[in-house]
Amino acid sequence: MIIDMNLMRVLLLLIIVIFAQPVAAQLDTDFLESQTNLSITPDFPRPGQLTNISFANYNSQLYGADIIWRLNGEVVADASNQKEVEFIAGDLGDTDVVSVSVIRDSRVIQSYSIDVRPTYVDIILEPQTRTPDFYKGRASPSVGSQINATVLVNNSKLLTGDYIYTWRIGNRVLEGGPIRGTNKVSFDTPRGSKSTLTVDVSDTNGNSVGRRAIYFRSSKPELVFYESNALYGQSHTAISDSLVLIGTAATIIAEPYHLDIRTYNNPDVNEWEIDRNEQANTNPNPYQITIQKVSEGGTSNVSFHVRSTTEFLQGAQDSIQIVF
Amino acid sequence: MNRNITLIISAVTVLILLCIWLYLMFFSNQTNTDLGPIEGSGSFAELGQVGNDASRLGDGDVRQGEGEGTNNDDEMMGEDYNPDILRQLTTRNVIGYREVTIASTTHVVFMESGVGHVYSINLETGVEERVSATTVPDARHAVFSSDGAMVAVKTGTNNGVNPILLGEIDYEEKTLSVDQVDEEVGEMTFTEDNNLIYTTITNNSVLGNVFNIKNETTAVIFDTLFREATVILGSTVAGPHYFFPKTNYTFEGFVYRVDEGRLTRLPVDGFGFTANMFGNTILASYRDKSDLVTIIYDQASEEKAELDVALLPDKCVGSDENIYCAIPKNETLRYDSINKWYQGVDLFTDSLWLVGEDGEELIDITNHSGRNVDVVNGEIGEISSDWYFQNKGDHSLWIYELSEIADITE
Repeated sequence: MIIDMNLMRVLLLLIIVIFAQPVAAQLDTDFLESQTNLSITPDFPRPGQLTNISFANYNSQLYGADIIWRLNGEVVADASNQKEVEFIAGDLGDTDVVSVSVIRDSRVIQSYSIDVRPTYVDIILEPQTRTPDFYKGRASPSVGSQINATVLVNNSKLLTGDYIYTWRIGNRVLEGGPIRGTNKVSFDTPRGSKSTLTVDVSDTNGNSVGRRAIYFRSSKPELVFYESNALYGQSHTAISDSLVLIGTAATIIAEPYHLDIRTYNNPDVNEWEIDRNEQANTNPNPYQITIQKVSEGGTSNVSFHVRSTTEFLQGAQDSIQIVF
Repeated sequence: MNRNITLIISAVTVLILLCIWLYLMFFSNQTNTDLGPIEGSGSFAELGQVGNDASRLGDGDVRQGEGEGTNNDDEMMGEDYNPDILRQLTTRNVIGYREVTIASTTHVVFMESGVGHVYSINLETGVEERVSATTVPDARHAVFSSDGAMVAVKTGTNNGVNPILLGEIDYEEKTLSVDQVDEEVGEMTFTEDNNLIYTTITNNSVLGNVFNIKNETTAVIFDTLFREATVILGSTVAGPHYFFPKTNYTFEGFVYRVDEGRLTRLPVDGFGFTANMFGNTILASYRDKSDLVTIIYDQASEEKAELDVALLPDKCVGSDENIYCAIPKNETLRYDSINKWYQGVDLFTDSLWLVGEDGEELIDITNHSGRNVDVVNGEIGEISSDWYFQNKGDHSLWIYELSEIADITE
């Protein structure tokens, strides 16, 4: 009885192997014909972007055959018998149909086609570093600071529904793997001056709908000094190297551009010095100091230093001359 | 004896003539200066307290600069040239202005920084008048409705996200009644039908909102889908409005258009991207390696054209027909110029230009006025079609009479 069961199992496996092989072969062939033979660069062309489609076929039977490329049904004469064709992707919402036919003895022996739908895949980086309110630009990331990233995929409509996003910094996948339903991610700025952020977007069936990789650079925090006026508020014009003290006192603000906002809000080192003497700053805003002249004529050096002692690259130090 | 008397009489006569000549030379100049439109406001005395550059430059100095520097302009414009075509309207620190009609006369109304006092300048007589002495403490940014009857004021830190005050101005009674609107607002403007549209910043994005002033109701009109967005609000609730990621020369930017809440990605993008919109025309600058390039994109024809000169779209005004820009003199803009300018680290000395195919320099501000002006917050007057702008250094308000140029050249 035991032997019979084993025989049955062997027979069953043989049946599966014999009948399954042709099916697998058929699947492989379909995959090759529809996907492998035509490759597109870039993966998701933008509207108006130069796009390359190449045809890879290593079948020796096709040696010497004619290759005809068509773009939206029109023969591309320049690409005759070429393995690749270049064209300008259409507008947002258009679909370009690119096909290639392999002809021998006036008979089409192979034909492939691909639909190209121009897509915008825009990644917006939002570094969580300090800039003053009046600054109309975007902050830059500094090493260790947090960056929020958002991807917007638009192929005639903005894809904001239930999609799956896989984010990578270099080769490291963020969030432990693909995330579903949200097009945002947060991560810390890696060490090194240049990093690569990649996002793959696919629908819930696993079909890729967008892909993009961008480089970004980290910046060093930098100090810029401004004068503040009780009536008019903070000046929008920086103090270049020196400030001429017109009255008896002046209020100076040090703005540490691109400093991690966590360090800005809770700095370990936060020092004002006048002529190398540390000042006990009683101002409720530690980035602001009010100076007053005690004699006529002369110059003083006012410096400011802000730093995190745990993230040592999160810091900046600079000085200005006060002429009175 | 007779000879001595004759000599004395001659000497006295010469002395009297000398006195008359000196009197005419000094006091006639003073009289001319006093007739200027900026006088009588006491502006210099007030600004003098804060050490503003303008306070150290007397009005006489400005006039002298005009006289000395306008030779080329005179030649360029011919005999009909009006030396007052470029004028500094006020030396006050202005936080918002608008050209309006008051009692059938064109005025410009503006609010003063810090105190929130409202002034009007009659553009025909040049007379400046204080419309409201109501103090709005820490007033930092203001917008006026098209009829000048309403003003929205942001207070607190500069241009930040702060609650706003909504004021109603009575030009006859010279009063300003103010209500607080409990919204933290970024950008704001009045629509053509005098409702307030404004942006609020959430954790994830920027929302465009409308505040219906009659009903005192608020509604969201669009969502930018990301937070670090520069929003350019249109003149109607339906739009178009535009937004793009805030400029950073290391990041790519692009522009979205909003029509009735629907977002459309436009084919204009680049690193360090910034833009300004005039009707269907988009003026955009972005980075090309270490340089900055500027293009004009016509949304109707979907055509792009690169300009010969790079410029800062923030310094431009205009319409589909003509775009006017303040362009830094003797300065080639680089890829990081925009961010350095936003920081206030780079300052520019501008000339006024008509840009495009028929582009030409309209006026050299420094030669004409004796002042170095870094142009910001430009607007074309809805009534006069004149070009208003402010100097970034002291926030003074200026006018360049484009309408006068058109009259002369026609």
